[in-house]
Amino acid sequence: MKTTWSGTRAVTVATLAAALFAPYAARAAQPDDDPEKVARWLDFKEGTFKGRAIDPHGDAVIKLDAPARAADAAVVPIAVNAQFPQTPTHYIRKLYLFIDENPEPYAGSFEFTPESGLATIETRVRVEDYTFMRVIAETNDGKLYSAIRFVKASGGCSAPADKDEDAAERTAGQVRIQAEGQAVAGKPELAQLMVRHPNRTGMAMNQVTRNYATAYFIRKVSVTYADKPVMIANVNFSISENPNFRFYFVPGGSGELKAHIEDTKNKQWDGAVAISAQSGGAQTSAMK
Amino acid sequence: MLLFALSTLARAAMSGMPAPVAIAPGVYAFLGDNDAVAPANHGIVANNGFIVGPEGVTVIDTGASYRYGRAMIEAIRKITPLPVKLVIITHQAPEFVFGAAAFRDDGVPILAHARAAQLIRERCSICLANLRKTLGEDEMAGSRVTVPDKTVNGTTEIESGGRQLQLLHFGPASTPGDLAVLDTQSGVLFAGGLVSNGRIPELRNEQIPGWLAALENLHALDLKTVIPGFGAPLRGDGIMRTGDYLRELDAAVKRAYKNGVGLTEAMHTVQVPAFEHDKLYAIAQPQNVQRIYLQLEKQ
Repeated sequence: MKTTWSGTRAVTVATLAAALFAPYAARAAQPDDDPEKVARWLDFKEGTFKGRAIDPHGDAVIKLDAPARAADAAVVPIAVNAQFPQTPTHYIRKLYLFIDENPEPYAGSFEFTPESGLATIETRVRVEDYTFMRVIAETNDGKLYSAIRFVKASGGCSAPADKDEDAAERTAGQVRIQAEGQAVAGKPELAQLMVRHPNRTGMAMNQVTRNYATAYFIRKVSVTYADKPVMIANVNFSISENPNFRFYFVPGGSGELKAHIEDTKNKQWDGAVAISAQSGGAQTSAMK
Repeated sequence: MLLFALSTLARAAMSGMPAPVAIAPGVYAFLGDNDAVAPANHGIVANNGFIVGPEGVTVIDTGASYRYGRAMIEAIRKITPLPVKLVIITHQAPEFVFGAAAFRDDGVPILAHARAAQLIRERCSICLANLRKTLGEDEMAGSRVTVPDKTVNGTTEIESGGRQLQLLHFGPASTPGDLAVLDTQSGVLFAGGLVSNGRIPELRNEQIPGWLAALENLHALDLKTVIPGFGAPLRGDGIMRTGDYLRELDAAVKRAYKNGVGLTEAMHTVQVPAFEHDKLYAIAQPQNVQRIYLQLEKQ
């Protein structure tokens, strides 16, 4: 896990992406490139959204927060901040995350419900070099909005030494889920989910063994509160090692916040935390 | 003949190459511009230098490119005809290691702490690729990873070029294999990665408690002149400002983490106000916050 991903292995693994990637692989993306002319994005857009219009100025719906320069391409913190609260009549249903230059550019999706309170998600991703990163938000009326950032990721100078991959796999699956601060009934409450997992790309050579470990990652995260879904992530190895998600839910009087996690070897883990919310009215620090 | 001479000169010159500054008898420093590596400064951001003894020259750190290493050799030639006997690499960081290839081409031994040598072997190819991307192929032409061929495992006194040098190692600090080089005769210290002046350090492989202890140890030596890895030379007292930054940064990140502030927000909001006007702050501060935050998460 020394670098993010590199070398020929990236091409052989992501064969589907490689065919599209090859024509412009020689030139690094630049911040002043036209983000609407990136071939891989256009292909994904056509395949996924089938000609539906995407509002490119989605600032009133979502804001994407990502560092302009990332020192460690293997761990780039990002936040997608929803700009309005979820209500039964108007809410963000789904966020798509796309990182143009990654071997597998589609990093996954995050689904929300009115019970989410706020369709904000924060996590850490792997980023290949200099790239556009984009989030498409789909609202419950079927409209699409995009937010885009250019990220310059370098890294590796301080990459941690290669780890024992067997050990990393043995300890995989420890789940920690918690709410931040005192929950208040009826108000969006910030929660954090952490899963110990190597989330291997299958594209990084171990510098000691000179071998490539196979791709092994968390593919699905489902979080419910009081048995109603609040956040469902369908993701891949673009999420950094030890996946970490921060998101919201709306607590009632008392209930359980539960996470169910599945990885690519069909291992499954659960985590839960009881939430006892104060009755509404008091201010909560989680609200911003 | 004239044409040949001119072309040699043209090839030899490196734009932006600072003139060596005489620090003490026989002790010279090249002072970089202290900013982020960028095409405009040709990557000449860090400090390095050389010490001239009765029998030869000892070079301390080598800059960010092969071209810079060659320019150092030429600048040294203008000061002394004595041969370069040894290159000392103070730590593994891209702004310090890539000129070493020019000295290796001349058959000069290159010394570092064993851990620094190991890290150069394992990681510097990645840093080199980053530098090529930032500075371009031309600026980085000829640059290659040059693994030191002599190593020390701890504080060691050596004689090089006829001068006594103390290679000081205080355990893992700014990197696992930091060396500071003290010239016994002049009392001048080349502090390498341990000290930054007017530029916040980029945390890469640091251990903050060890780093603070190393600074205390250096402070106790009561040095008159310290050449920091970055920024203007300073007196021994001045090195403690690097420690102030580390302490305040560490405390501020821990505070935010304990208060449940998310990583993205912490990168925006955690500041060390006394250092806001230091070079590199805008770039390195959020990265330093991230690094400490992620370490806290693993505990």
